[in-house]
Amino acid sequence: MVNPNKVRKRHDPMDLVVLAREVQRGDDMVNAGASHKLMLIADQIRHLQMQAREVLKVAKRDKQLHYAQCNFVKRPGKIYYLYEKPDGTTYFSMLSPEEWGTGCPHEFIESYRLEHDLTWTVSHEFEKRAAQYAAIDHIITGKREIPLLDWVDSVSGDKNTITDAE
Amino acid sequence: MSQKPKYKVADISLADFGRKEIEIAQNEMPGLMKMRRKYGESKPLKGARIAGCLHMTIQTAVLMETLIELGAEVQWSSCNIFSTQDHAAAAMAAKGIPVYAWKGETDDEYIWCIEQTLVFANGEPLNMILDDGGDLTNLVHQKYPQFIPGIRGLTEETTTGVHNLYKMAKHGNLLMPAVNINDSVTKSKFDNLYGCRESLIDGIKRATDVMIAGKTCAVFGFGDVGKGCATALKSQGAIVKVAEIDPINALQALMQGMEVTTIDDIISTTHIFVTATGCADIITAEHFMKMREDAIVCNIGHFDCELQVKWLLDNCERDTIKPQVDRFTLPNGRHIILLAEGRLVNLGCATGHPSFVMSNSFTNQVLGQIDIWTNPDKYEKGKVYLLPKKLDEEVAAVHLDHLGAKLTKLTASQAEYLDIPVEGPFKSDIYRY
Repeated sequence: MVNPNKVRKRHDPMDLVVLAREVQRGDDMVNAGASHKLMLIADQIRHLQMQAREVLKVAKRDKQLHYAQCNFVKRPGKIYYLYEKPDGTTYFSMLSPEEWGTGCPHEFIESYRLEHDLTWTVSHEFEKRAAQYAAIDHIITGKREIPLLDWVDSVSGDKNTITDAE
Repeated sequence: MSQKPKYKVADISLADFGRKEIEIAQNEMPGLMKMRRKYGESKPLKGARIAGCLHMTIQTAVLMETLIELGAEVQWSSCNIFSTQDHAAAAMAAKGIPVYAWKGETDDEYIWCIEQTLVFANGEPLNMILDDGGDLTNLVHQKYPQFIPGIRGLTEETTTGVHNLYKMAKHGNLLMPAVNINDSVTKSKFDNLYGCRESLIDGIKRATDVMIAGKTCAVFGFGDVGKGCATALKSQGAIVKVAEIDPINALQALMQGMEVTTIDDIISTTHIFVTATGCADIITAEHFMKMREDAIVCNIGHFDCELQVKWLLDNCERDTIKPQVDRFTLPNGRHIILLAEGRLVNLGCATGHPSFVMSNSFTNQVLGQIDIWTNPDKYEKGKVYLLPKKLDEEVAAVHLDHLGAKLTKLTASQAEYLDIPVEGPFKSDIYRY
């Protein structure tokens, strides 16, 4: 014998109120699911917009740095020191303020490292950027699997983890 | 002075490349290699702490290593903001030689570099100067006079620096003995003349790739450098015109088939301008304004004051085509192309003189350094000396083999007829070569 409790057949399958409620709940669930997914996409859009803004900001800064006066050929991987003359023009020097000592002729602004993609890394991010490049280098040379990669978001500085699931 | 770095170069990773070129250069510098063989064991420069200020090129690297092999300690800077060959500097730094030079220094960095060479690692100051152009000499005299009593003397490489030395000596401002290397025959009649004859065109070509043949070229100054430049341009098929103040040099230019005229006569028809005077304000603002479209302007004299570059920088829009090649838009809308910002074009836009001719110059430098260091009593403070003719002849002699030359020997009777020793010196001091 079939146990009516176990097969949930105690209600009346022809009850229209119950049927209508089921349909309504289905609609609600679909809406809730859709809106949840849309919210996720909206979040991603906001995040991408933020990243895009940061990328543009950094690109603008890099461009300005490439326009700073410089008499020598800049070599990737080298650190250069940005100074400002009294007339507001900026220029790159090979010499750090420490090397200049008391004879430093102009106001020191910041030190930057020229990367191999010809972008600039500001002094306080030297180590972080170097770690990123080292990690990528490891992947390229096949010493490390991508899924295990801990990487630092180059824009926000947030720590992210790429896992298998993603 | 701040904590000084062991060296400062553009890129130490260029050292291997530099070393390879140094090895090739050594074979082309028989004079310096002869010095190493002759004095390598006796080390006559032991104890000498030489501060050098001379274009940091591959050839200079061979000179530096020769001085070291002869027992000296050296510290080096370049005597021009654009003349350093970064791979040469890197090779020196990699060998532990304190070198402070890179291509494209600012004027402030240039002085900083020279200052780093004054005090050696053990805290002791320089006791010899090897200079090119007089900047190191002037800096020590004006800003670091406390080091002067310890300095035995200086050797000066170039016309401009020698001119400065005689000026200092005349006014009693030269506080050490000096050897004029420039006026050794094997220096100025070779390096200045034959060196420029090859390196001027090299500089202009690397900078612009312009066709020289058929162009009207103006050379200002017909000294040794001007002669080399004018000859080179003419040999390429250019129409060469010369401006001179000295009637003797002017007549020499005419005898070479070159027109001698003034700048105002040729300013608007000349394609390529080359200054080689050692004087100031040869090409002025008014001249720039009269030049034809895209006239090429360069200087091969030691200092950039031959051209009024400051006026260009202050009054014209500057478009940098590549490092050391700038195109200026004049207020009248026309353009001119300035090479190496008016500094030595052969070193700024190319790699300077070839090794062989520099071996002649630098062998004189080595002999000058040895003579002052080992015979301090022979030299008086405030005086400028020339190397003896016998040494000059020896410098030339050690360069003959490399080119396969066979020298004719005087017989005893011929020597008697000429009333000179069989082994030389063959010429009197007034002979002009």
